[in-house]
Order: sequence, then C-alpha cells, then structure tokens
Amino acid sequence: MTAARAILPALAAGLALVAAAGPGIEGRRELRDVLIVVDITRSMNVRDMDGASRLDAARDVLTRWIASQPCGARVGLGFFTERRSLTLIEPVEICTDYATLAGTLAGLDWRMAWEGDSMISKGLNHALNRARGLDAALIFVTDGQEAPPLPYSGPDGWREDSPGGVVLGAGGDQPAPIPKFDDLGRETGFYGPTDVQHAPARIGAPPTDAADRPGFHPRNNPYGEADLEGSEHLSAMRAEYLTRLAGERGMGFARLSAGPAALQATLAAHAPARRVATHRSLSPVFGALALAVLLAALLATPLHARKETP
Amino acid sequence: MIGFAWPPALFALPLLLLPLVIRWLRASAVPRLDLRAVEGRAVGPLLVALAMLAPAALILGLAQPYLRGGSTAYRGIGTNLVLLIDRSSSMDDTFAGRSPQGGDESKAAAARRILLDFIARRPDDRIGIAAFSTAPMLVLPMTESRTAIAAAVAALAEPGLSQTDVGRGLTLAMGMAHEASASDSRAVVLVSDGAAVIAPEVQTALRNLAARRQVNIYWLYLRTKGAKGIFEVPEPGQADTPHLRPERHLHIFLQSLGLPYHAFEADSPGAVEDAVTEIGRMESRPILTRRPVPRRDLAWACHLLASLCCAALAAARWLERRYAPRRPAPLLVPA
Amino acid sequence: MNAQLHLFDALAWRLTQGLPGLRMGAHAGRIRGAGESFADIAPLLAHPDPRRLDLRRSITDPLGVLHVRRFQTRTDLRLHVALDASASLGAVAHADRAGLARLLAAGFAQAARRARDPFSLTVCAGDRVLHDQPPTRRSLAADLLDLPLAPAGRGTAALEAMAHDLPQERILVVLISDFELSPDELAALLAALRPRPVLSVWLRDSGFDAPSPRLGLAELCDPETGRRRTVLTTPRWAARQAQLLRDRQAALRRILAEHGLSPIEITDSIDVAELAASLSEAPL
Repeated sequence: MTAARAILPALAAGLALVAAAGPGIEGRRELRDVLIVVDITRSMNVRDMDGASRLDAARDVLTRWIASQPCGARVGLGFFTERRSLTLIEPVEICTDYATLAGTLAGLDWRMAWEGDSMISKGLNHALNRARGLDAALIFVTDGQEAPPLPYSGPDGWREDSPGGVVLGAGGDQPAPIPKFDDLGRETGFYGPTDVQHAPARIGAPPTDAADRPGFHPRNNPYGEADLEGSEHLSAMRAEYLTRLAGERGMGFARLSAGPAALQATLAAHAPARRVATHRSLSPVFGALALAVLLAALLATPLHARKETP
Repeated sequence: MIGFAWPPALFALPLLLLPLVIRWLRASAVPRLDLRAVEGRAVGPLLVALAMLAPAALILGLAQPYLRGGSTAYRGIGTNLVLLIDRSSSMDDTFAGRSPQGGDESKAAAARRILLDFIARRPDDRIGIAAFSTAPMLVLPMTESRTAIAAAVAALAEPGLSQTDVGRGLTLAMGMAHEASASDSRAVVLVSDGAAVIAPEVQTALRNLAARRQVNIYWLYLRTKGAKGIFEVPEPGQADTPHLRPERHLHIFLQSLGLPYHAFEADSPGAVEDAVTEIGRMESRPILTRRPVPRRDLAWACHLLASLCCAALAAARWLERRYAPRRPAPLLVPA
Repeated sequence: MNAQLHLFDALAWRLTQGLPGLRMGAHAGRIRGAGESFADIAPLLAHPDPRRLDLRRSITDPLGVLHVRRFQTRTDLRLHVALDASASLGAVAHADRAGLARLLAAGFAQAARRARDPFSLTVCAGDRVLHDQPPTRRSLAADLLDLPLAPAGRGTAALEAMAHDLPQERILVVLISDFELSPDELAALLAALRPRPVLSVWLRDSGFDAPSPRLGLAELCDPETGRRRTVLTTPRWAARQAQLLRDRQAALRRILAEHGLSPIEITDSIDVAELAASLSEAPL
C-alpha cells in the first residue's frame, strides 16, 4: 500500500507526459473532392421550394452540405447556363476557405448568365469534363428544364470516363410559373405561353410521329404543327429526365428538397473517395488513464491515516 | 476564444474538489501544534492546489481545448484590390491575335501568370475578383485567403465566353471595392483586351458610384497586334465614335469620372509585368487587413501541466514522513 | 497486565501534615490518641486516659501533676486520581500514553487498596467528564485496566470543575496528565486544585520531544483542534522544534515548582521501582 501510494502518482505523471507527447495511430478517412455547378438559368428563379426560389434553396442546402464535410475535402464552385459551365473557383480546402466558398455561393445570381438558354445535357457534359480535369466529382444542381426544348434527336450522350457525382434536382413536381425580370433586375410578372418556345427548333431529323401531326406535309412541312402550344412557360422538376441523364453518366440523382444528408449519401454511392491517412490522437486515452490513476493515488491513503484522530 | 472538442468531459470537473476532502499526505497526530510554532504554512495549500490542479488539467485535456482559429486584424501595406477580368473569348488569343500554338502564351494565360506573381508578392492585400463577358460575374468576394485567391485565378484558365460588357463589370467591381472598406484605400484593376460601348444608364450608375467614394482605377489594356491604342488620337477626318473606337472612348469616360485613374497599354507579357509592378508601387498604402490565425490545440499543454503536477505530487509522497515514528514502548519497563 | 498490578503495591505516600479525621487509616492524623507513634505529653486532666500514664514524667513533675503520653492517631486519606484525557493523550510516537494513564490509574487504585485508603477517579476529556468513580474501598484495579479510554476534547475545563467539587481536606489528588498545556493553563489548573496536596504525574513521549532531522514533508494534525500543518522538515527545523519544546517544558516545571510541586516524570514506559522511589520523595 505504501509503495502504491508513491508509485501511482508517478505513473499518472508518466501517462500525462505520454498524453502531452501526443501519440497517435494511423487512421484512414475518405474524402471526396467535388466541383459544384449550379444551374442559374431563369427557371431556377421559380419559387416552389417552400416559398424560396430554387436557387436560394440550392444555396442553402449546398452551404450546409459544405459545412458538414470533413476538413481536408476540397470543393470548387461554378455555374451553368447556355450550353457550358464556368468554374469560378477551383476546388479549395473547405476548412481554410469556407467563408470564401459561402460568399461565392451567396453571390451566385441569375444575372451572371451570359445567355438565356439552358441546354442541360450539353452543360452537364461540359461540367463533367471540367470536373474530371480538376480530379473532382461533380454535383450538378438543376431543375432539368431544357430551354429551348430538346431536339427530336434527344439529349447529348456521354461516352467518356465519368468522374461520378450527383445530379441534384431542384424544384417541385407541380409546374409553377417562371418569374420574369427586366433589364435592371426588377421582377415584372411571369412568362406566358407565348413568351417561350414549346418545341425544338426545326432543324435536324423530324420526329418519327411527324406524319400524325396536324399540317404534316412530307416536303413543305416535315415537322408538322406541334410547336404552337405547350407548357414550357411553366416549370417542374424533370426528375425522370435527370435520373436518366445521371444514370448514363455514372452519377446518382438526389432531390434538393431531401437536404444535405441525402446529397451526401448519394454522393458516397456514386463518387470515388480519396483516401487520406489521418492521425488519430491517443492523447485522450492516456489522459483518461492518468486521471484514473491519479484518483486511485488520491484514494490510496488509508482512511484512518487521512485524519489521525485517536 | 477557447473552444472544446469534447465538452462533456467538463462534467467531471467536480472531481477536483476531492483533494479538499481527502488529504494527499497521511497525517500524523502531534499535540498542541499551536505551542510548537511549526512553520511552513505555504506547503499545505500548495499541495492541495497541486492535487486540485492535476485532475483539473487532466479533465481539461480530455475536453481537448483549442484556441479558435479565425483572423486577427493588423496593419499592413497594400490595398483593397478588385481585379476585374475580361473573360471574352478573344483573351484566349496571343498578343499577336492568333490562337496559341506551341510555346505561345495567350493574353489570358500571361495575365493569369503575372497576376499570380503579383498577388504572391503582396501578402497584405485584400483581393476580390470579378469577371465579365456579356454579364458581370462575382467570382470571389473580398478575401485575405491566398489559397482561395489562387484557386479563383487558376479557374480563369477555362476558355472564355462570348462578348465584352465592360460597363456592368465595372459597376460590379466598383461596388465590391466600395463594400470592401470604409477607410482604407480601394483600387479596381481592369484587365481587358478590348472594350465596348457603355450604355447611358450604366454610365450614370458608374458616375454615381464614383461620386460616392474614392476608388483608384487602373486599366491594363492588353493590346493585340493591329488593334488601335487607347492613347492614339485619330487623325482629323477619321471617324471617332464609341462604336468604332470603344477603347479610346472608355479611356475618355474613365478619365471623366474624376477618380485617380491610370491606364497602361501592354502589347507583350513583359509590358504587362512592368505595368503590374507600377500598379503595385502606386497601391502600397497602410491597410487594416486580417491575417488568418490557425486553430491551435491546447490539450498538450494541459497534459504537460498535469504531468508536472503529478510529478510534484509523487515527489511529495516520496518525501512523506511522520513527525516522529510510531513505535510505542511497552507500558512497563521490563524488570 | 493483571499479574503485574501487584508491583504497584509498593507505592506509598505520606503527607507532611497530620490529617483531621476519625476513621482508622494508615496516615498520620491530627487528633491525639491511641496509636503507635508518640506525639507528646499532656496533663491527665486534659486527656483523661490513665492507661497511657507517663510514670517518669508524673513523678518528676514538681507540682505533682499527672501526665499522660499522647500518641498520633492513624487516619485514612482519600486518594483521588484526576486523569487528563484530552485528545492530545491519544497522540502516539514512542509511548502509548493513554495506556500508561490507564495502567497508572489502576496501579494507584491497587496501592490505595493496600493502604486501606478510599480511592476515587475522575477521567476528564476537555470539558467533558468521561468517567467518574466516587470514593470506594472496593478493589477497582482490575476493572480499571479495562477502562475504555478514548481521549477527546481540548483544554482543562472539566478538570477545573472537578477541583471545585473535591473536598478540601483528607484528600490527595494525583494529577495524571501529558501536560500538553500552555504555562497559563497549567497555572490556572493548579490554582483550582489548591490547597489540596497534589501529586503530579507527567506522562512524556520522547518521540515528540525531538522530531527526526531527516528532510521530508510531514503533515501534522493537532488531535485537539484538528488543525493541520504541512511542514518541510529539515535539520534546522527539527533542532528548533526540540529547542522550543525544551523551553516550554522548563516553563511548565517552573510553574509546578511555584505551586510547590515536583512532577513525577514518566517517559515512554513505567518503571515501578523508580516511581515508588520518587513518590516517597515527592513533597506533599
């Protein structure tokens, strides 16, 4: 008992010293570098995400998703309009540059678009190429509304290596009107049926069912009269179309409304991880041991000897 | 500010009250201490303090305290700099006006390389980046983070877009410079290889911005071979309209804003470098900026302190002795 | 231990002054009468006891007055043991002073029984009386050896209160104490006991007289007040402790001497022969 009383605190001192030295074991952590590309075309202004516009909802979910990523993961940011994406920031480490990423994400605006078109399959391919060049997976946020509508030949395919990633579908399932803005950015109402193009441009091969369309004439009107009316002035999320696009490109599909957790789960399933060695500190273990030994040392004094009274 | 990686450990802190109840050394009874004038009052409290400090430090170490990272303000030499970059597709050509071949360097690549050098030499600048083609784009909000700036400049390597709308780009850049700081110097560096007509309403907006707050404006004009210079006054009889000579008229417009304004015409990478160096020389003023402070782990210090305390306590146990050894003699002297 | 009680039979005490009292005992009484030791001669008229007629003196008396011899009567003396069992008695280094005190009490009980004197005992612990034995002639010695003695309390309040209740005469107070007292406290206690004859027995523990000079840390606890001190023990400190203690003991002896007392000092263990010797020499 007497020996223990002297040895225990010395042992505690040794354990605490080991804890201070910071021993650790090698661990592995999976990190996924990601290029986020956000569709900023006009249909993203539709306010059908619980009252918020699709773009605002995307900003919110993405900011929260970035905040939930482990340090060491790198995130880049770009946007999509017309037929290509434009990278604003190449992937940066999120813990160092979280504020910058959040600031740039907050600065994403439909006014940045240099063209009003929204050719999603082309843009997606461009973004995938860009992501592959940056050695990152792709998170592509869009509502799937092609403007102008897809040609009769269908969307562009993908025949290259895919870096993987997620197509994040923004918007609701019910078609909603698209806000209209003037030159100075003031909202001036909604797009009407006559403001938009409802069918592909009359170029390329005609649709196979053209013969059944009104006004069809093999020489004078090979496309028929199918583009006079439609619902392209309303926008809903084209989940089926986006799932198909994602599937062809080795990507997953998730809904923006499902939040950052669903995005993370889908990303984990569809993007390769970069394994990095991490240092897991054992200091807390040694510290806890030292504390236990110290308490034992404190209690090692026999009760009668703590207060010697006859 | 101190944070804890595992705050639940702090619930064990009441343990450090134990040494107030349980003494570290075993006591030996000595009658009438008051008549014995024993000195050394400080040793007892010191031991109690050590016995309290040791578990406290260990518990704190378990909670893994750290100094929150963040940034600290300091005075440096530099400026609040907004780089306004032309992303029109013509920037991807060389100064000779061709597509880059072999060892050629495009105007965009030269600008990127020289700007990265420039930024690397100026650690105190706060830098924001805006770009423009048909539409102005906020690329990077004002930041001190060198990695973010480098990533944003590197992203400029992507092929450019269609047209040039310099007016709206200037509006965005000047707005960013305005918001950057209320007191320190602000500068906008416009890097472009061309200009366009500025719409009248944009001109008004720019004049309003210029009247509100002072911003130094630099225009680094990357002049392609064969293009007209900004300082060239057309010979009499030649047309001199904004549509035919947009660069010259942008220069005149910027001069008319009443702000400190310098234009540089560069027709080779070397000239760009000279111009950038000159801008750097002019934009060296005291600036209140922020320096990132990395998060610093403090647990090791707690453990070290605990180790020292425990060692001292062990030494106390090792030195422990009674006032007099307890060896009672027999009651009766043996006959 | 029971077997060794007979050692204490040798203890005897004798007061310098005669005692008033009629009961037969072993001590010199103040009353003249029948007895063994000659006291003086008195006229027969004053002391009408013709059996002790002193013929020689009566014949030689010029006036023819008859004289009788008078003898000292023997009377008894109550032996009162006052045991100071304040908490300091429980501190043990080289002596089990509580055990010593218990054995001494039993020994005096044994001796009183031998001398056919009544014996009484008061055990005081600070301001409480732990045990109070009224005067008795029964043999208590063996019982006292098993007396539960738990030193406690501080000060001498109960001892002083006891002193006020004791009779003034025909009593010998044996004050057994470790004398862990300040000189003032001791003076007050002795003043309270006056004018009774007092035999002071000083239980000393040589371990507390001089702490060892080895370097170390000692946590000291005062059993009376519960006060604690942690001290760094050094040779210098030990020497100073020993010096202080010697000074205090000298002061206590001076106080005792002022009250005409010379303490019987028992250090660590009892040597009965020595005790008996010093007892016979003690000024009473």
